[in-house]
Amino acid sequence: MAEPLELFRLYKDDIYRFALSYTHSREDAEDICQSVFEQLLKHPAISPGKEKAWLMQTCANRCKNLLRSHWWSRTAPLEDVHSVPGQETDPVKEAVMALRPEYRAVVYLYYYEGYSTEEIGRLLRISQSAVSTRLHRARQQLKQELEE
Amino acid sequence: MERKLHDYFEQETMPEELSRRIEASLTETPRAVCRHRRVRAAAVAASLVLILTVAFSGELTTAFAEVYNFFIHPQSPAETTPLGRIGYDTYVTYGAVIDITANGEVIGTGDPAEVRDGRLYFIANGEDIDITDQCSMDTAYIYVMQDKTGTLHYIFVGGRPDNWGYGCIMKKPGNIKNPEGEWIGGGGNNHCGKESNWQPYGWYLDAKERIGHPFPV
Repeated sequence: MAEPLELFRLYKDDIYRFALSYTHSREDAEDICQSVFEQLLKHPAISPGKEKAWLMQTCANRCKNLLRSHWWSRTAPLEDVHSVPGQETDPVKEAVMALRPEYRAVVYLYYYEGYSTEEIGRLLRISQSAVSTRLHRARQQLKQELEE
Repeated sequence: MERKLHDYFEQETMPEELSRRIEASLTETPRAVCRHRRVRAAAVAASLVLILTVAFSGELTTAFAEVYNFFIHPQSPAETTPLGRIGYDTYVTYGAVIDITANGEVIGTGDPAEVRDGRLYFIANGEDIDITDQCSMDTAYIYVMQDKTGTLHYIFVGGRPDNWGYGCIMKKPGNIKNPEGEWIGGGGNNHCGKESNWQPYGWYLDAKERIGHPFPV
């Protein structure tokens, strides 16, 4: 396995984006990123070439755990996540953030990371058909939101 | 749409401060990491002692009546996750006791509602109100209280006795510290841990609308 610091510099933005997409909260995303990379220190035997998959899976697990344990703890600023009345908003951001967390995660992994539905299924530990269903519903919702 | 989504995600990068913090933690010596863990474990132990002390002294429902709860996570025992800070230092201790503090003081632990004999009761703040007929899957029972800092706590419960959930939203009148203005936070539970993925139930939307919370789910 590559050095943790090297892996961090290589994948930090990907993990942060994924956590942010999944949790819809900057603070939760930051906490999750920190715990994911700290976890690297405890797992020095990840197979070479599989480090990113391991990081993404660990991140997904942390996000799922967090969402399972509480649903919208927002005791910290979410200035860039939530729209603020009177401020100009990005319609794409609004549409993405209106999706359910599990849809946002799939959309991020598919459209940004370029994973296949099979790979996403393995990563999130759900069936490939569940991934396809979520993608389909997310697309429909996004299309509807962006057309409005 | 694909291009737009890609561009949107591309904009987000890890904040510099966080990046520096994680880099620092990754370059710590193993000895330092262990020491850090011990400090954290000690902090957790101290918080548990504090909670138990407060709980057994009976001050929990008199001095700090706000009662929130975040469910214990069975897969990550002994893990402490900071949830945020804005006046409220909020921590969850998975696998053990839950500790919520406000301005450094423990304010509560436990569910704001419970089921007895097939009826749903609101029990936060020392109450014992049968709310079975006041809430449903589409309607929330809302309880409002104000703490000594002036923060309003909207605690709402929705669902049925066999499938219920709750939430709390905090509003600090006159607060201008952050872009969310007076709405400084919240927390809750998705139907008592019965469902793994949160979705906006009717009672949740009903509560938000009646409270006037302006932000999306």
